[in-house]
Amino acid sequence: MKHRSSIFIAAVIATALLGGCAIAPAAPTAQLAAGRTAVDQARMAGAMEAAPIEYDGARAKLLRAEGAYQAQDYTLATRLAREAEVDAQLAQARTSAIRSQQALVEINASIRALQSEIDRARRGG
Amino acid sequence: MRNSTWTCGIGALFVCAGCQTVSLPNPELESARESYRTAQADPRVQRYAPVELNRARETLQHAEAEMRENGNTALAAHLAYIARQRALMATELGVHGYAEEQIKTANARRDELIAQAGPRDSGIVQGPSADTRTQPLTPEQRAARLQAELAALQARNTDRGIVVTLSDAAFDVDSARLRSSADPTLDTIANALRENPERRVMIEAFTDSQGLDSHNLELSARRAGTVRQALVDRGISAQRIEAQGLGEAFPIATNSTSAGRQSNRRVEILFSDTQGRLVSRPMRGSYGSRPQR
Repeated sequence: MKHRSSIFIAAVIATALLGGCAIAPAAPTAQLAAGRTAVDQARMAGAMEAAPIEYDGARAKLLRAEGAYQAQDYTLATRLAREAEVDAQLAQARTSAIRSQQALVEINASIRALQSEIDRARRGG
Repeated sequence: MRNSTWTCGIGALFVCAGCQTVSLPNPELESARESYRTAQADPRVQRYAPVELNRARETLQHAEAEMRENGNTALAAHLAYIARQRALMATELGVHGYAEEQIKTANARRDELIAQAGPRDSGIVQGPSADTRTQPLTPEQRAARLQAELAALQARNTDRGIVVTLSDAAFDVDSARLRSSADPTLDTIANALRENPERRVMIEAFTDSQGLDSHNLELSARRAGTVRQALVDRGISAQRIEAQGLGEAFPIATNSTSAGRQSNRRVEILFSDTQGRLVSRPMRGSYGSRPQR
C-alpha cells in the first residue's frame, strides 16, 4: 500500500513536470521581428540624431534579445524584444515631437521677420 | 500540541513577512505610475494621444495585478517598464500633435503676411485685410478654442478670467530683457490673440519684496512694457494690450524663502472676456497683506 502511494505521487510529479514543459515559452520569433521593425522605423525617422539615447538603448536591447534567443532563454528573449520595441517607439515619438517643435519655432521666427518687414514698410511709406 | 501552536505562530509570521515584501515600494512600478500621472494630466495627451495613454494604463494595471496577485516581481518590473515607456510615448505624441496643429495655424498666418508683404515691392502698402476669411464660431466654441490654444502654457482659469504666467526665468536677472526661451510662450499668446480678435489682454508684472519699492515698481513696469512690445512685435495691436508694473504688491507666495520670492517675481497675462472687458484686480493680494512702507 505504501509502495503504491509513492508511485502515485511520482506520477503526479511527473505529470506536473511535463505540464511545466508544455507551458514553457515558445520561441519569440514574432516579438523579435516586431522589435527589429520598430528599431528600423525609428532609424528611418531620424531617431539616431534626434533621440540617440533612446535609439541606442533600443538597439542594445534588441541585440541582447537576439543573444538570449540563441541561448534558448526564450523568457528573457521575449521580454528584451518587447522592451526594445517600446524603446524604439518612444525614440520615434520623441523624434517627431522634437522635429515638429523645431518647425514651429522656425515658422514663428519667419512670421516675426515678415511682420517687422511689413511694419517697417508702413512706417517708411 | 503546544509545539504545533508555536509552529503555526511562526508560519503566520512568515506569511505576514511575505505580505510586507509584496507591499514594499517597487521602483519600476513607482516610476511607471509617475510617468502615467504626468501623461494623464497633460491636456495635449488627452487630445492627441488618447490611444497610447489608454495602452499605458492597461499595461500599468497589468503590472500592478501581477505584483499584487502573483508577487512575480520580475514580470511586474518588465510590465511596469513597458507601461512607463508607453506613457512617455503618449506625452511625446501629445507634444507632437499639438505642435502640428500650431504649425497649421502659423502657416496660414504666414501666407496671409506674405500676401500683405507682396504688393509692398511695387510700392503699394495694403492696409489690414477685412476679416472676411474667418468663419463664424459660437462664443462657446471660441472660449473652448482659446482654452485649448493656451493649454500648453498651463493657463489658469481664475475669477478674473484666463491667466498665463511668465516666470522669472523668462527674463535676465534683475533686468527687463526677455530671454529667447520665452519666445514660444509669447508666440502662442500672440497666436491666441490673433485667433480671438475680440479679446484683449492685461499684462501685470510683479517682483519680490527685496530691494527698494521704487526699484521694484520701475523694474516691474519695464518688464510689463517689454512683454507688451513683444506682442506688438508679433503683430498684435497696441490698443488691445494694457500693461502695468505692480512691484512687490500682490505676492502669491511667501517672501521669506528664495523659492517663494522666485514665485513672486512673475508676469501675469490676463485675457479679457469675449467683449474685450478686463476685470480689475481686487485691492488685496491673495497671499496675506503687506506692511506699507
